[in-house]
Amino acid sequence: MASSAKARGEVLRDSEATLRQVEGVLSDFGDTATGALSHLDEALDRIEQKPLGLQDLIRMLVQTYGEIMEVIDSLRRSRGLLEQAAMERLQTTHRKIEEVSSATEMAATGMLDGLDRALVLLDHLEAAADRERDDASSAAEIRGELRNELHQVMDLLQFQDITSQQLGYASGVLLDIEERMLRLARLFDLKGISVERDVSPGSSDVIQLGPEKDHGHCDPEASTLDAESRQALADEIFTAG
Amino acid sequence: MKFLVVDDSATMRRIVVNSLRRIGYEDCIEAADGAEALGVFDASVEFVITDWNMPNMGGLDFVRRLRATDAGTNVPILMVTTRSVRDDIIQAAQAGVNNYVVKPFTPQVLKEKIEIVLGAAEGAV
Repeated sequence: MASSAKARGEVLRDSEATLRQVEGVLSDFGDTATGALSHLDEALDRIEQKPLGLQDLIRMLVQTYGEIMEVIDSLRRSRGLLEQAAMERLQTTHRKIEEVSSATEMAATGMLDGLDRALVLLDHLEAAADRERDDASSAAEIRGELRNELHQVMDLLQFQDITSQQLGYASGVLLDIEERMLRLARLFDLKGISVERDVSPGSSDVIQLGPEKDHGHCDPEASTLDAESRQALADEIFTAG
Repeated sequence: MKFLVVDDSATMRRIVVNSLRRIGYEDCIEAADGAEALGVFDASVEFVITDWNMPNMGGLDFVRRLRATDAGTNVPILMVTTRSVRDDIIQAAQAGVNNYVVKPFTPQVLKEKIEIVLGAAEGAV
């Protein structure tokens, strides 16, 4: 259980660090692009104000080319940072979430094994007490209560299945984000300004912001809360049907 | 009475089987997903308890396929799942589930639903 809590803490720290890094990259990119656009606006204003000679035009084109190359260089650096920081961290986060899920499964299995053994011991005690016939009624009552307590602990272990589904869903979302970021990174990988990008719908160069992926066998709404009211809804539907 | 318990969580299968034993049903077989369940299901199974969200083949698909077989047409099916949105529950009922238990459940609720399903099945005979 302590290792699960530690892993959870690491997951949160990694996610936060990744988000900060991506925010920084996007902010840097925004500054460079804004700077380049303002220089282009300035140049266009000057062209409108007075006709330019050939030399002025060439100088302005060279300056504009330099600005555009700076933006492209910034895009390439952003791509590298996105790949390096976000991808690695997202994959680590995904691995750690799986570790948490696996650790809770192991802990739950260990607890179930222990409870099973305790229940068997209780059965042995009961059999021995019956043979000796010592104060049988009160001892049997206590053993019965103890058995109920052990069974209740066993029932509480349902949390493992539910948290595992919650973690599985979170892990699936991370993988989905990773895939989208990879496609974003590929979009930034411009080989030169003359390269034509395929922007037709469905192209791998276009970032699809379609519906969220189906995260397989995990229920995103899985919860340990309000089980009674949710059961009441099911009862209502099955009673009416 | 022989039960088939279908859930991808080994912990949950043990909890369900344990609950069944406490209420007097000792004969249980298990499967980790719908595909495995279809493989082990035969006419000797008298009651099916299945989860919804599972890899390979989910519970809903499993119920639909089971209902399409001769041996599975009338077998009582109880769905035990975390899914509790109205449309999901209706979908399960339409697929052929006889009753529905929302996780986390208590053994009392499980017992109550099994008795309702068995009572309805006896009434139908």
